[in-house]
Amino acid sequence: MIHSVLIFNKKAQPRLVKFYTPVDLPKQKLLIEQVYELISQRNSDFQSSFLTTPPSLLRAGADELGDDQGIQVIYKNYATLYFTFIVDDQESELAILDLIQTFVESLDRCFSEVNELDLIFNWQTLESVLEEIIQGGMVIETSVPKIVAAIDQLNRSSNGESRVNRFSGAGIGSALQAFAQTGFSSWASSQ
Amino acid sequence: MASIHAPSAEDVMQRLRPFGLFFEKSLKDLIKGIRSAGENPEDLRQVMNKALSECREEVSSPDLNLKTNAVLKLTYLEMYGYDMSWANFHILEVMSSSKLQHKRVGYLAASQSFYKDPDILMLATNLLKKDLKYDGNNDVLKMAVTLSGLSTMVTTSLASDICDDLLTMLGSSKPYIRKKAVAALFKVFLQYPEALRDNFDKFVAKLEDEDLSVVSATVSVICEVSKKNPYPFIALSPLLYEMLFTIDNNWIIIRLLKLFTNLSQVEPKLRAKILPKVLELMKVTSATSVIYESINCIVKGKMLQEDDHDSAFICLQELNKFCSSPDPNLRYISVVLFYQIGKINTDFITEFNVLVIRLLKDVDISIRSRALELLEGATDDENITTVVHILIKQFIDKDVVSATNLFRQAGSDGVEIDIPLSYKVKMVSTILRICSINNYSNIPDFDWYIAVLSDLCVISQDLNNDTIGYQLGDELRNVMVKVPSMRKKLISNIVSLVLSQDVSQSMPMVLRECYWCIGEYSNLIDDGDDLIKKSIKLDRLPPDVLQIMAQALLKVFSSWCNMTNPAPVQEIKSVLQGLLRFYESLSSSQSFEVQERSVEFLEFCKLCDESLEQGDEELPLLITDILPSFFNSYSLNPILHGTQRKLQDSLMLDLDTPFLSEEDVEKLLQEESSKNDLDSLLASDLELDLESDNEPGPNDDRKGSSVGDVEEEITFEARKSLEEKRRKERSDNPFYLEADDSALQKKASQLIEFDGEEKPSDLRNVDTFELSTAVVKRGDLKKKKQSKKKKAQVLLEEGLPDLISSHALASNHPRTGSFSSSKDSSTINLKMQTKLESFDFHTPQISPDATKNIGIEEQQELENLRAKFAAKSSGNDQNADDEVVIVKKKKSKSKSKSKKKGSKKHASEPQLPLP
Repeated sequence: MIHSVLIFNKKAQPRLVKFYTPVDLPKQKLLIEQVYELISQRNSDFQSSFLTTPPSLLRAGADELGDDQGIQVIYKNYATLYFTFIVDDQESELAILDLIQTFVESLDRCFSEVNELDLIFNWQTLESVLEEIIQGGMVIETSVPKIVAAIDQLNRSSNGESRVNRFSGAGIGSALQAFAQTGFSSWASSQ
Repeated sequence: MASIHAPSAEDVMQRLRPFGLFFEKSLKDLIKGIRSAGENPEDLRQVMNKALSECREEVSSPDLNLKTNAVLKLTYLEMYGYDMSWANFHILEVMSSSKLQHKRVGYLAASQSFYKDPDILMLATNLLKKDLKYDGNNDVLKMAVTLSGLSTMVTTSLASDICDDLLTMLGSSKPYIRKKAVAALFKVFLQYPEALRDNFDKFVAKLEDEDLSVVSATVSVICEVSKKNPYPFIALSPLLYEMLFTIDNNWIIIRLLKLFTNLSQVEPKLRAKILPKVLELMKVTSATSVIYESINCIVKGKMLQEDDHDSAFICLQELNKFCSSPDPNLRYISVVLFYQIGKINTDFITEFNVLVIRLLKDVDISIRSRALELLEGATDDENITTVVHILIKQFIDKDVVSATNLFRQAGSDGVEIDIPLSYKVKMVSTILRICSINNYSNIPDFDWYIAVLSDLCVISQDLNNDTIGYQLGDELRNVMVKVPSMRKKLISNIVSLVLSQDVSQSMPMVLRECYWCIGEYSNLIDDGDDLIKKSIKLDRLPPDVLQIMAQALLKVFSSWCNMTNPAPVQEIKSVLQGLLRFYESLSSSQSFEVQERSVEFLEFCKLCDESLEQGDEELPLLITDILPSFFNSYSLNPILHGTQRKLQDSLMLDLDTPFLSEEDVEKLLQEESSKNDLDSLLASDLELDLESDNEPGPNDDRKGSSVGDVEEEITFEARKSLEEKRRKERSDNPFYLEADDSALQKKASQLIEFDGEEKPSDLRNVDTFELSTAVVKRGDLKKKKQSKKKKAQVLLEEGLPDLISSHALASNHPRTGSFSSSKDSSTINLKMQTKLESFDFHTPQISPDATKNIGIEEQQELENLRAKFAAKSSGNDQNADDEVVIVKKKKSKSKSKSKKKGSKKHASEPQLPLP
């Protein structure tokens, strides 16, 4: 299964941190630092997408006995961002690379010409796209049109709801509405 | 569009909340704030702390919109490492909102935060059950949001509570819901395997669902579950390998291959069926990823047998192609797989050594690093020089890979790549490993190897790696001990290495074993005086080197003094003075081992010095006879790692019988005082040494304690009278409870008669044991000693026959052991807690739904929890009453209902009332 999805930029600023296996916050931070450290040493132009296991994931004595946990860190670099997946041996390396591609393509559909700035300010969208692809560490959808359609449906419903709310006067002016409209509808309209 | 919405929303906000605006930053404002703080960590922390304290206020607001917004911001802030589990109760409120948008935020936050807190999950259970039910308009979406959220927070009790709801959803008319339910069931099965056992057929039927996404999710779940417990799915294999050819979706095919890997690992019978299918699939498909996973399945599923050269060849042929691909990813994973195949049988990969050598020059360091692991199987005595040559050339900081090795289009000059330190370290240990493999059978020429070792020592200085230093030292020592014909040459290399200023400064670890060699083979060194003079000038050596060095230098001194053409006494004196100063300086060392040794040697050197003063022309006996006798009693042979430990374990030491009784000690003391003049003492010492020389067998233990030897010196009569005396005293002494010796001995002899194999006493047992091992060793040596035809003779390691199970070998080298244990504190374990692994699927007993009837105790527990949370939030703000009511109220909307009343009322109700 997929244990974690991390997105951060070249300055190690996190853009999305998602753990499907419970990990304490300090350890999450440690792991991100170590993964960043490993990635930043690499040249994505001609080096492979597979990282050596970060120290914190190595279990004591794993070197001698072979890494029986089979944890792999797979990343892809898009412009200023690194998309990193931490997976176990039940996931195929090449399939995960495809999955990252699918993820990015879906994002590209949501924001035409997606860039880091889009993702910074639309973190919620990032979360919802990921939610349609991976659920609890399991891949549930790999087809870009289906992913986008599912998000469309969710947002359409919430737009309608908030519109109703605005007209009915209940909870007008809440900051949430501001968020809801800008957050989830911006990309929908930009398609 | 965002720009149109945002200002309008802000307008609205300003109009309606003129005073509160400052406290209601939206997520967007928060992100802006974080961005404006830039990269200054101090500013960033300030911004976040401010945002956090604002969230604390907003989250307790009665306005659900405001609350939701705060929860959303907290969820965002958790990305930066700010814990939000304190807000769990508020999250629960947001989750229970009737608005889908609120729910989305709530479930998102819950999926990130609830796993830490089983209490809140108990409260959330009823809400989850309610949200999973279909009863209204937007319900498909509501269910979807709920499914996504709960997938990361399933605990055992939650799993048993919601599994029926999820199983019902498998029959939903919407594929979207079905696939999400299937994926959510994975976590349920992990925590509550009974659900899978009782509904196995219902779940497995989803393999034949009409929607491909549902099939995919089902295969994924089965695959994951089979990793933990493959047995229930073996029966499915006919259906599964039919799917392998009927389904036209690479994602699912790859998953199926992974599934077969898991099944085949535990059921070897499947191999005969699956292997041909997988090989056929490889031929049919055009997708690289499927071919790769097929090979992966064959290898990891243990389908490739040691003698199955045909299948191995097909796989390796494909991998060979992949390794030449322009895609570094494909090259990398293929190399890894290559290694796996090589592990099954190294013969498989020997013919691919050209490929391996090419991969050593790959543009991607991580691929080179993997290729290093392959070398063990791909090197032989023909190509080892080439391989080592390639590797040694890579000990530079920047390597330029020529354009011909690059698959992508690059400038004609090639690409410059950094060679990281870790790779260099790996190279050194790989070179050492491939050279020493099979007791140096790959080494064509030891002159060459010694040159390589010396080069490595010089090169490795910059690596700053202690382990490498030790490894190199070990290797030098091994060659020294094992290849007698090269000793003379190697020792001169070692001497120059030791005296090189650079090595002693930057890699002192290698010196430890070097000095050991120098000490042990000091008779091969011609200019020992020079070595000693230079060695004692080396400073800042670590204590573990010094402790060996202290001893080695004395050995060198001993050999040098007793050469066939001894140096003039004057020179010996000056060297001795140097040694004296050296030991003097060490005798205040902080390392007690160094201190103890150097004090011992210092005292001895002082004696030598005195004896040199007396006679000017000839060397005193102390130097010519006694000093060499310290060290040259036995020649050393290589011994298998762990042998000594085995010996120690099997010795039955008698720790109770004293060496000397009190009278013995007294008598000895008297003797001592009677011959207190120096000459006679020396004479007796000498006698002792001679005696120990004559003793057969390696009983070093005893040699150390001269007291034991002294005891043997006492004549038989004396001993007899002593024993007599001792027995007398014993019988008088009330503290000796046991019967007298004679009775004991009688008993012992009876035993011997009765059972011939029993040994009379523990002590003698030890003696005979030692003897027998000595015999075994000699026999072993004779058997194993066989010289290689053209190559230099390499001694084999001697070991014990397996008297005891080799549990001693399991314990690692202390250096590596301490290294790995130190990592423990910060390791992250991603392994899921699950009961599946040990679950027995064969005893299906569909229990009546006991879980549904919440017992009185559980109900009570819920009430306690509720009270606890209520108390917690009432501490946070004054509006606690309202807040609690929002969660707990039944249909009635009376906000005035007091908290106390509410909880009292619910205590009597069978179900958790939620809106």
